[in-house]
Amino acid sequence: MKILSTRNLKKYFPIRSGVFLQVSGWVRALENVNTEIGQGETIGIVGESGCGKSTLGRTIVKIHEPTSGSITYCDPSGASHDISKGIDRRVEPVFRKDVQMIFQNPFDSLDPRMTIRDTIREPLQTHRLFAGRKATKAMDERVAELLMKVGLYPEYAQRYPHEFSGGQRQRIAIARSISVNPRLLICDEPTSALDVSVQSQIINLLRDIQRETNMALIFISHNLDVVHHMSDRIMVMYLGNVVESAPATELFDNPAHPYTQALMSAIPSWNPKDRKLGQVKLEGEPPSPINPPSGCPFHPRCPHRLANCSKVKPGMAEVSEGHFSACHLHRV
Amino acid sequence: MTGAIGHEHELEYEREREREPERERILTVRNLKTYFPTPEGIVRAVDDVSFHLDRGEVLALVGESGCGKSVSAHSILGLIKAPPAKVEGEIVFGDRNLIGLAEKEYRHVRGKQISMIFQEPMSAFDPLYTVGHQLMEVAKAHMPWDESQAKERIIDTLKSIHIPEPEKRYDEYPHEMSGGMLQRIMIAMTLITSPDIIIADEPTTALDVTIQAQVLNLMQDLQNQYRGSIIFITHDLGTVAEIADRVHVMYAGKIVEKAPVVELFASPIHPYTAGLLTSRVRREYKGKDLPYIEGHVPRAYEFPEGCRFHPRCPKAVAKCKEIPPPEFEPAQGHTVACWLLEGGHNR
Repeated sequence: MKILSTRNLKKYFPIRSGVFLQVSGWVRALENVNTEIGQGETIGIVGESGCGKSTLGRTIVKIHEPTSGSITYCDPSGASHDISKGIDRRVEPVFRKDVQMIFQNPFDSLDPRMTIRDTIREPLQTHRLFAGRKATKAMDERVAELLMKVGLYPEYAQRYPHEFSGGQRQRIAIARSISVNPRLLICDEPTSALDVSVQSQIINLLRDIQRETNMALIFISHNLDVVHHMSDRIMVMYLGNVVESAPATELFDNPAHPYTQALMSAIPSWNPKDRKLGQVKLEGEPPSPINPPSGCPFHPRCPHRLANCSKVKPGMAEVSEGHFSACHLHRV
Repeated sequence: MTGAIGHEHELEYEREREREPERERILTVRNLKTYFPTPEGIVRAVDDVSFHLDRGEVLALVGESGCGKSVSAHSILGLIKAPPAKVEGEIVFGDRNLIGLAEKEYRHVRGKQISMIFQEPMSAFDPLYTVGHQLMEVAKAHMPWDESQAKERIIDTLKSIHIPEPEKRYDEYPHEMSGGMLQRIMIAMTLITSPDIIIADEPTTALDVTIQAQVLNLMQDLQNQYRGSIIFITHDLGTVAEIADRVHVMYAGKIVEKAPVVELFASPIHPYTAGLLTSRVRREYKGKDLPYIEGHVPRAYEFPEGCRFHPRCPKAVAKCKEIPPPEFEPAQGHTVACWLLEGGHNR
């Protein structure tokens, strides 16, 4: 069952300058992004800093208003709603409960002055999931149950965030996000701020919860290995554009876009007998999204560029079944 | 069996020594202890750590947050304020002990003979001055050049690490550059004085993978070119495999394993090192649960008694809870602080 989809989603941020703060330019953070996610599915979004992957996550949950394009949300009853221009008052509570998010840094995303109990109870209260005289008791039971589910002791409910390690805090953030039984969880770099030995614990936990609840995940990360492990389908972003989209294993076995190939060649080998960084051929740095290159956004750094690449922006082409890539090379 | 292996290693080591006869020891750290008093108790951030560095080698200090790798580096550079902190032991550089050196003398060492590259290039530069001005400060403090000579040398250094349009970059402010470019400028800054040792504290952690590859390549080139020594501090074993000659793994203020890089990746012995290596997200694990190390890194004021890794160790025995393990040397140049090796038993 479909939960959410986007068509030609664009997000430009205005740059204001001068005394009257007139708009003097635009940061083109997202360009024509098309996605679709259904129950139980995981979509991975990968790319370097500034590629728009976090903006995409935030625009989907409507932290940012899209500049143009549409976002379609299907509520649990199966009815579709266009939420790109503002959400219907009757749909909004359902949407807010249905789509939850966890963030990169668990040191910032928990309120230091709230106990863990209050933190996890907040969404339960906001969405009025418990009512009546026994509500408080029922909520406390729910908090205890959630803490156990994420691998913490129920006694921890009385404590404050500073008493926990990074991994434990991320577990608390996960408990908070799944407290209202969302159907879609957006994870924005959930393991990047954690130690290596703890990262795997959190990834396992997210997969366990997904298996149990059949919720959908949008998993945003710069770490290709982690995204590969989590995702059914991966979208590779560069400068606000989706340049390649394919099933996870297919993307790793047959990367089609030169940028994806370059990204993969830059992953360290973990083998000191077979060092590979010397073979990485990617020159330069990503250009600014304020003034993106004409034609294909990757052409100034691309080792295979053709005359056409600086003039015409390539569209998505299907290179094999379900595997799309935006590159002129596929049409030669 | 262990004897035979040990012998072979010894032979190999001898052969290596013959090939490279003049291995010059450049830095020796002995029993370094850096303690900080805090309201929660004394933090033994670096606790009895010993290692050495030879000329022309890259030594990696690896570990997770709070293991003491950065504090070790700051101790070497005399950047720990003592008191209130306590720094003990020996840091022998050249023919003198750096611990207890007067600040005035330390200034001739720090930034000149031992330089540092910091993790966050964006916060390591002063936003109010041009990059050139900040490079010039280093040159003026340590080199006998006049202004125009210094500028020439700085531009040469920038050119040598392939920074495009160095004259233009010289007059730019930090905010006008990307993180990768600034990190390269910081590398140039350390090179101006041709130091004997460069300490690089997570130099690529804040950078994207493709830029990380460029910066690591650059460091490798320089190291081959100048035969300087690098202490490379990181939490990322992937980059260690790419750049290090020898690796020291740290956990909770102690070095738990020291080994040549190839050996460490091929046959890690300490359960923590083995755990770190298996924590890597491999493609084969797709669809399965990832292996991981139980528990979490202890906080600095509550390091456990005995072996500090024992609460998370799958192989811990009774002794591990009580007595900190000494260093065993299962092979030449490979030491491990773990009770499992007691009596020559390997694992």
